[in-house]
Amino acid sequence: MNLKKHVLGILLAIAVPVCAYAQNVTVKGQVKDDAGEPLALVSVAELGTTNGTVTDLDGFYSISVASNSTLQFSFMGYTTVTQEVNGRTAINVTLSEDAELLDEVVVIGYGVQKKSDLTGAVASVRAADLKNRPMADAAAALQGKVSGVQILTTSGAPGSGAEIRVRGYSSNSDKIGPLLIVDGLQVDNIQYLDPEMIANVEVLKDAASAAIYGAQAGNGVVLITTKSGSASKGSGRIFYNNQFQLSQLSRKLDIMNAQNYIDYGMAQGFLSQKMLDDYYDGTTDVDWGSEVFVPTWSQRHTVGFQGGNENGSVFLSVNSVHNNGIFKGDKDVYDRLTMQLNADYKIKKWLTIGTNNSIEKWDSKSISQQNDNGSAMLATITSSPLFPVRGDETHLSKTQQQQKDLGVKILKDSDTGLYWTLPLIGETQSGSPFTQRDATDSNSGGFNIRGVAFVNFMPLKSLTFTSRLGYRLSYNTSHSYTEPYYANAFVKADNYTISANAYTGWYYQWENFANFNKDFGKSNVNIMAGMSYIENNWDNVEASATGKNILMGYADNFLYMDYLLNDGVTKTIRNAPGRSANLSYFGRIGYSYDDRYSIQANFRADAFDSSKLPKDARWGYFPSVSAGWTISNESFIKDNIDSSVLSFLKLRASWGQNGNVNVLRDYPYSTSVRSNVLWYQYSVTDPTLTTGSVTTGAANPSLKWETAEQLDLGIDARFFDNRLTVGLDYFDKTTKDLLVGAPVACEVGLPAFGDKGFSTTPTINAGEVSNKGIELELGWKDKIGDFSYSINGNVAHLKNMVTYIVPTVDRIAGRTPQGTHLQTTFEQGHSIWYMLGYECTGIDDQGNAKIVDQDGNGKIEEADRVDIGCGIPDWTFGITVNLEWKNFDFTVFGTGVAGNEIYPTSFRVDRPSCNTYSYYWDNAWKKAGDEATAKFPAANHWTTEAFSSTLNVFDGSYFKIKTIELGYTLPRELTRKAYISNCRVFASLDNYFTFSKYIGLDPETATTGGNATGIDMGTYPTSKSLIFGVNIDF
Amino acid sequence: MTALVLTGCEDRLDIPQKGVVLPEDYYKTDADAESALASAYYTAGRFFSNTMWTSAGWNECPFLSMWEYASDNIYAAGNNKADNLDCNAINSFRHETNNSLITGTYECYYMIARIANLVIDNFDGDKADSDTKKRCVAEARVLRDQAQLLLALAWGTAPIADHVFNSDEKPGNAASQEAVLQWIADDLDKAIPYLTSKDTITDKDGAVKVTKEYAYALKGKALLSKKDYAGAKTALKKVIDSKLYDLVDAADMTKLYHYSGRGCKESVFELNLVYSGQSDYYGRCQPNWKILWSWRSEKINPPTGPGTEYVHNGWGEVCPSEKFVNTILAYDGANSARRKAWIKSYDEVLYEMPYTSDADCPTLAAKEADRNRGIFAADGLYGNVGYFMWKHLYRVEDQTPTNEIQWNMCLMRYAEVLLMYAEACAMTSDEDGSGLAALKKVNTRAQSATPVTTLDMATVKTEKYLEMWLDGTRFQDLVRWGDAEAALGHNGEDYPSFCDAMFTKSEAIHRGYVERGDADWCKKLYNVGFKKGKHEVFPFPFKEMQINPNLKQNAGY
Repeated sequence: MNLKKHVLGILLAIAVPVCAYAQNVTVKGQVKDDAGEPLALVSVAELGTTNGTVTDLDGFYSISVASNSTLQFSFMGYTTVTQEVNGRTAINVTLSEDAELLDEVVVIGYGVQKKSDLTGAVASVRAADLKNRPMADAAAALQGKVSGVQILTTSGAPGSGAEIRVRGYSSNSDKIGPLLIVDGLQVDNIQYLDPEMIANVEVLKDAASAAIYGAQAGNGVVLITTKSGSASKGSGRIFYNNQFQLSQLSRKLDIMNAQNYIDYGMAQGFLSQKMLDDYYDGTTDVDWGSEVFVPTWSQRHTVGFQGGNENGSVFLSVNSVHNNGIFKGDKDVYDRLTMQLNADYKIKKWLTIGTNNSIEKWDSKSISQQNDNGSAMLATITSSPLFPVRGDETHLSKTQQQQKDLGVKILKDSDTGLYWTLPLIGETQSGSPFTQRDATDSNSGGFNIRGVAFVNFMPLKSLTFTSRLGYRLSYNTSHSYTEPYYANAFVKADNYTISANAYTGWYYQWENFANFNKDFGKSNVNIMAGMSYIENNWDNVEASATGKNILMGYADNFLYMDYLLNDGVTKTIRNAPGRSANLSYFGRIGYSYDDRYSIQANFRADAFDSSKLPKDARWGYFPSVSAGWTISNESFIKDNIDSSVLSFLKLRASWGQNGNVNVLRDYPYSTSVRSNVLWYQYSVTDPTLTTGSVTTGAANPSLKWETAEQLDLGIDARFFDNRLTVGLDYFDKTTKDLLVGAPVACEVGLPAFGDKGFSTTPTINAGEVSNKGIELELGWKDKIGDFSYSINGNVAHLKNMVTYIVPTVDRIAGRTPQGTHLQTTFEQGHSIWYMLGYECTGIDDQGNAKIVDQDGNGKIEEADRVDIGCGIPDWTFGITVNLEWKNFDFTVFGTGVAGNEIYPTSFRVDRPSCNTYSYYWDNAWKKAGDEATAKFPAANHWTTEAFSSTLNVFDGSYFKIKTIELGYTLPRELTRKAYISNCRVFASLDNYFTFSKYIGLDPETATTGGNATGIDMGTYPTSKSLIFGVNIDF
Repeated sequence: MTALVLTGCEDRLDIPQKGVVLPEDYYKTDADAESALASAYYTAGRFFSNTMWTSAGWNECPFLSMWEYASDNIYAAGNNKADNLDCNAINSFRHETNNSLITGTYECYYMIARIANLVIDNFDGDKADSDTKKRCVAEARVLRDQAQLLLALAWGTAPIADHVFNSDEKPGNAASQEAVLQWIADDLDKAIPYLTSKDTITDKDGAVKVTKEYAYALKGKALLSKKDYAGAKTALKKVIDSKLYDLVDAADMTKLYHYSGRGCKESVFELNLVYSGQSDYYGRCQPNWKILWSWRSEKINPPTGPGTEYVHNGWGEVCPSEKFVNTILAYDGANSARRKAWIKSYDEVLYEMPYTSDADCPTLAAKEADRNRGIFAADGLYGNVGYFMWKHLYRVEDQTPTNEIQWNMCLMRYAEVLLMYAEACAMTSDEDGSGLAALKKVNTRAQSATPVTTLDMATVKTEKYLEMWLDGTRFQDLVRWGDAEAALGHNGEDYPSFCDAMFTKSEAIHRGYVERGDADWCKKLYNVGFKKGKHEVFPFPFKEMQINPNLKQNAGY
């Protein structure tokens, strides 16, 4: 028996009301879909009466009606069909899937809206766009899918979440990602959310759309709706999807090989033939890229159940991800098991209840990256090719041998029992990548429960009260253990260190709001008003111990803090439970007339707890208005232009204000005394501490909200029977009263107690940032016989600039990579965190970099630095092509950025004997005459200035073909026999092709977050993957 | 009911800050005064010792680094010429206003002054209603004045931190360097009546808090810097006459500044630091600069044999200058206690320090041929002429059980008091011969090959150059004496390297030699050396000039 029918039968028995009345004609028939499949549970109603029925499992129905009546066949997700009976007794109907975008419902804050009524800039991504993407992170899956939304993959490491930027970079804060809302629940990340569980994603880009979220919406809002059972369209569905993924390094690590390294070393002067004769075997030539990065297998499985009827639905899915990164070994692993359980039920006609829950269990291990002072990634780039990766005792350096004699551990390769060796001449900046990998054993993991429960009370058809409780419970722990070891003077541990952390968090939000929506003739009025209270609590216990001898034993079963010794151990224990809260009132009023004009106004008042702003300044008020004009519904268009040419045309405009709270924390407005945080010892022998208190001095009592104001103008149009879709938006966003950490005069002497959490820079409202841009989305879809295809592209241009900063602040210094004079900088008239460095006009005939003396004073000094680039791209774009022919489907998806710069930090002038990217030596001036073509100075003139100049700033533009996927759906006649309604197999190449001029491993991840935007400190590259998978539906 | 709920919600927004009390509830009792003073000591201890979290990064010593790099005591060395650049800029007198070490040092001194001022502002005057409060205020004054003195010596007219500045205050220059120095002396006079003294000459704990004698020593230094030699003489004489201090024996000179020498009778004031596993110990000790100053470890086979005092972990950024080496060898002789306590020769490092290979090298000849010792790097040790700093070298005895550093920061040593007194006498008169006696005392203890017989400035200068080497006073002395241009005019012209021919020329035995192939690189690139009329003071930091419109930059910058 057909399993689907069986399930349906049960549902029918529970749910289908029988309500047929005897009439003078009995009409019978069958309802099918486009593919000829019978449709069950289609509602069949006699118009103008309460009479109706639904189709059975095989799509058949029977209904007694007046012979002159009209029947309406409706089913969620399909176009509604009406048929006049006219005395007929047999009416068969085919319902088409409702692909019409016009009535697509879009989730907006605290409600839904027809897409056609939208007046703001809201971008939508549907489940189909997210399907079969290899990443386990919802944010990453959005990449390239919507214009004006940049996805920053700052690391390709397993389990690292991508960051989202909506319409540029609007603050100097490090937290400028959008507000994330899943099924109404505010979440701090969406990394837990497997793309498989997402029904759709809405990005509220303009201020008016986001304004309903007020103070937290200054960087946009991402609304995610997880799948529900109702999407199963009446028939239950069981599905199973899997992916097997073989990942490997996507681009070659292009660092110097042995010959180049030797040539460079000789030219630079740190290598001599004598040293090579003494230490180098003459043949070793290590390719560190292939030593460190090896192909690895990852996999992902999802099994799910969906079912629903008119009264309720349930969705249950379990998703398992095992992701092992391409760094050799199992030290970069991410495992996750998630269950999503969504259910809703209409208990009474006027009462619906529901709940959506996600339960996540995760574990991860990672290797070090993004540190210009030493990491496994930096070690990979800087390792010498002249000496083997591993070796026996004779390969150890003298100091390693000495330390070994003293009993200090030298780390070994557990596979071969050989030591991880270091170059006997030259050095590496961070030791061996494998030493970095193995020095510390650490892991973290935990579980999270995130969900909402809601009640919808509908006393009137047009009025719905919603009370919704959202909650997040999280518990996670991390452990770390390091034994003393020695690699070189800089990469070593003198002590045992063990640490453990336990974090418990509970969060809830309680929201109550009412939606009123009613048509009055051609007018539609909708009003929403509500309040929200959010509270977040956390309790974190951190403990660590360090010392020469800290544990009762060092066998594996002793490596816990239960077995700490009492003496000679420095112990640190920290705990302070915390709480934050905010209270908001919000409302929206919308009016539309005749599907032609719509106007909407939003207002939100937000108050955050006293850790952010003082009581009398805590309320922030955020208004917005927007309007839309659907020109295509005007008679002068309708009457003059054929709708098969111009199908739809709408103009939109919106203005609004949002806030940003992320910069405010730790009571920045108040001066207080920190009790007993400092100490002095009045005896040279007795270490007793006399403790002291001290005032914090960096308060600013007159703080107020940072406000982002945004104007948006948009056009939505569709042509040629909706085959061509065009969306165009212009926005102008200004962040005012920007919260800036304002340096105070040195003489004030605010103490640099950074380790004690003291701020030496009061936060002031002192700047303005402008983001302007244009976003274009184009889509074309068509069908020619069995062949259907679609092309969707989007492109966005962004102009980001700091337009004002108080003169006393002048410029804010961001990050200066070690050993350079380059500095990311926040300054009026420049992009935020632009790169301040030297301009170089070429190489002179001596092989020196020609640094421009900007002020002409005859000296090259830091005052000669200028704007030489910025990590923020001017352009972001994506293109998706879908082709379908019979049972085959084919997708190509590419995305890229342009107009950004990357500054790689792998080479340090004070560490000239480290290996580095081949580019520098390949392009170095080597002999007289080279100055015409050389792009880099002679090896012995690789100065700080040269490395802090345009010579080391690279075009970060790239285009990546992210996905090439071929799928084949097995013929249904075949699969039905196995009770499978749908079975698709697919294979895809992910990240296989990257077009970029960047010299490093991956232009996409070659950036560090926050104020180090565009600085590549050695990041985990995204890998390329070969993926196989199956999607099965029962 | 809704209203009730909502009101309840808004109350939930009032979340008290943890771990703090309100300023109006503090700064009241004697205990509060002691607590505020402990904070001032902590801050002085921290920001005279290290620049952690300041513009200078984590690697420098505010009491010593800037002053020493601006002298003929040392080379700003390190791995190579591209290393240690901001320090090299100071060492070659081409520093700019944005030099991070100068900026960080400036920041540190004012931080010390602020936390001391919190004691003074909150407990002085009408609020000084107890002996405890009066003493706390007095001790805080001295801590502040020490910082203010260094500010005056380094920047001339650096604003006087005479109260706790509000965060929007932008103080202007002091009237003149002389005025600041006099202000310091006067302020110390306000403190002295309420200060205590050491109990006895052997009272070690008395060396780690502010005493009457330290205040007098500081006053003497302020007045000497002001060239008020008579005033200086009077103040310094008080310290000598207290008979609470003496020089340690010649044999104990190597202990000065180290764990075994803490609180010794020669120490007038040092900021104390005792390890007991404090979790925030690192923030107070911050070992980086001590490691930076240690020998360049990856270029030498280290003397880490049994019983060694050497810790093999260093960056070699401070190496004795050839001028200093030659001076001390010529004046004190190679065998003087002072020479041995301050620097080691390459031969001493090779043959007198313990190596793990000693067991295989029973004879000197065997050691000479032993490849497990010596400078093996092909490029040798940069900024080195074959002598190794020993005075402030971080040693095994200074290590804590967790390998951090346990090292008191000595701000005033009795030897400096004696030398300042000798100078004050030499510049005025020495009726009772106590000036000469003071100078002789230092010279004798040093076991110098050149005994002092007369009190004259030339002798005072040489003694002070050698005795106070690497203690932070050289630049101050040269400027005061008017000798800076002559002594420092060629700084930056010569950065020699020191190599071992066993490793560079395949010779059979160790032979150290100076390599000058690229020694003039800095001179070739830059206009180096002390310039009269400019380099007597340091530039106010660029970042400060950007913020503070009331501050006038020093001439020439």
